[in-house]
Amino acid sequence: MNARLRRTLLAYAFLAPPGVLLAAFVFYPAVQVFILSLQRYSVLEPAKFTGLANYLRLLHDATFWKALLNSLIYLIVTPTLILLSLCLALLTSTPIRGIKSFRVLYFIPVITPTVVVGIAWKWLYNEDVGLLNYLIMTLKLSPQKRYWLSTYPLNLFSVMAVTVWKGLGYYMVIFLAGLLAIPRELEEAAALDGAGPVGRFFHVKLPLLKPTVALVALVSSIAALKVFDEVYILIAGMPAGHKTIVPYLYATAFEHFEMGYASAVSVVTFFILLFFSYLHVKVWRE
Amino acid sequence: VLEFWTLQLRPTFDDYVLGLLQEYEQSHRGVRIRWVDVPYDMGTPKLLSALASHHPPDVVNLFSDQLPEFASRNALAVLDALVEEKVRARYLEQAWRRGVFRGRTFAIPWYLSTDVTIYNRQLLADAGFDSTEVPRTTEALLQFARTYRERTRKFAFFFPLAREDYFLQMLASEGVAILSQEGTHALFNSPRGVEVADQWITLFRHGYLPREALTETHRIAIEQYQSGQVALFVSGPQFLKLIQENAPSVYAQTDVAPAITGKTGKLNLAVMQLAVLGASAHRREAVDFALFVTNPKNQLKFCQIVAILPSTRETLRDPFFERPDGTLEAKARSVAAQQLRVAEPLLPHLPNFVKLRQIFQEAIQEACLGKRTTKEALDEAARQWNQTLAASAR
Repeated sequence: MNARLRRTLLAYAFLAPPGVLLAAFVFYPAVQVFILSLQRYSVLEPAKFTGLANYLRLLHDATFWKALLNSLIYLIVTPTLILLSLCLALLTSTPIRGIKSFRVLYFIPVITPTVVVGIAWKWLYNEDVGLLNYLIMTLKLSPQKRYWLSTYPLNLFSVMAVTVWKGLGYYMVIFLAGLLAIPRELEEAAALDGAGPVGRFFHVKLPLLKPTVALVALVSSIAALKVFDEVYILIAGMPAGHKTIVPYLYATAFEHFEMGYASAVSVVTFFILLFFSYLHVKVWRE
Repeated sequence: VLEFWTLQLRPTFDDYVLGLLQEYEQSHRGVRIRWVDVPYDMGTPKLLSALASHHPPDVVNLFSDQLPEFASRNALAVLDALVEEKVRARYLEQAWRRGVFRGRTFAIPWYLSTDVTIYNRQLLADAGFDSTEVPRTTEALLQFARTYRERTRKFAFFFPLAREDYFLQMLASEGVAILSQEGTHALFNSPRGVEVADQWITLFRHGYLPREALTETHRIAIEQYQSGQVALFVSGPQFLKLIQENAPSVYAQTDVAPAITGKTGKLNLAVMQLAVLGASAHRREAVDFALFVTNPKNQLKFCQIVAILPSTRETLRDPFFERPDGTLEAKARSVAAQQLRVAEPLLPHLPNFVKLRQIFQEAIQEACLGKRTTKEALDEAARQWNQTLAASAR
């Protein structure tokens, strides 16, 4: 066996275990979901092939379209996260004493369980006795209480705020890594040429951070389209038309037992995600 | 080996359940019971997963609302031929009926509960009410909500308007027909139904109920009562133990009164059941075990640990339910037991109940938020119910 063949076989040997796991737990279920989307299936009864009936039903399902629209609205978290986490990364990358503790503080929401975060925010958003309403009334920012969780679309934006708050530290760390990878000489050269802090940011740092921005945009938009936990905890009791696509999918499958139809929703969601990923890669490559 | 699933009994009732299993295994050589306790909210998804993977349990604890979803899809064993008439006669008729769906028996009743009114004497006194003024009817409750809020600027109670099925039960208790005799048409949008629903919706719109009444479940009622935010809540007596553990100072001020009912005087009977899965390879043994768990002796032992009611006649005749020992739990148990005479499941068994309930809840939410009038919202909900019922019958 020559050295090259041995190396190739070794590479495949290393690839095999994750490959088997991926095949068993990702690819096989994904194919099954596609097959199920062509069937009427409730788990409790045998599946019945119905062709494209589930997809045709989707076309006329107003709640599905409303949930899809909400998911698209939810994408607002992506530019918000990019902007805020980049600002935080810039602030925490400055060589000030004790700045590391701020990095830790901003990262705490990331490692806090979503259920805990959801419950804490639910108290803050409480429409009768919550801190937010207390503040806006005390500071006279609004003549009346705001119904953060029970009125649409304000409730959707309230949930989005939690997603941004929780994700900020994570994306800050990614930007921080990107900023630290920028050679100091480039910044020093720009400074010698007379560029101020703003000029250095726009002409040196930002162009070099482009791949990091692309990564954050891709990861955060996929996460936004797939959001479930925050919606499920904060506005579980609201109608499906107030929520995003994944909670709608969950309710269809596990509360209404319509596995075939829920699979069709999953397939459509998958293609939307795929389209967004493709768009991101294409835009940022250009 | 029989697999036995319960709903949220661990770790509080470990000793009781493990004692039962040990006793059964000792008296049935060769039989082993594997006990799995499932969180209440995960009961349905976990059972679905077990069925999908072809490894369902043999005996499963279901809340009676869940029964039609599984029975209508042939997932449960029919028990009529497996339970003798004399054994069946041990159980209370209204409790046994809850296990019957479309004329066939799918479950054996286990423990029962009827609501009582749990109230805080101190908060009531602070608002100028005495114990005799605790509301007994829905109409009085509506007035109480207004007066209490006006006197204290606090909420009198929490009522889940748009979650679970309390609103539908309240309508039924007021004498509003929910469904036609044949079970094919919704009737809750009758003039009387609209009138009763509108009273509650107006109460909410005028700020006499917490905003969370629109989005939260009964769990919040307990939390708000324990933290002294509300003066009363309506619930099963078993929740008294929770108050005692979590809020001893509130518990010290707590008393109980008979349940609040509508014009009919009827109140809901909540039934926990044991069903045997159709896919079980040991159906006979599973039924035998379910009958053992629900036998009068074992139910009495269970009732002595927690304030629940038994589903067997013999247990209910035990002096334990008639002689309050001075504790609040015993008083509540006694009140709840007396109410059993008029308690019955207020809502019929319906396939696709979760979907129907969601349609109704969304209608109530729309009316509360002022997007539709109460009549428009109930008419739309009735239209969607009729469609769903027709689809279920196909």
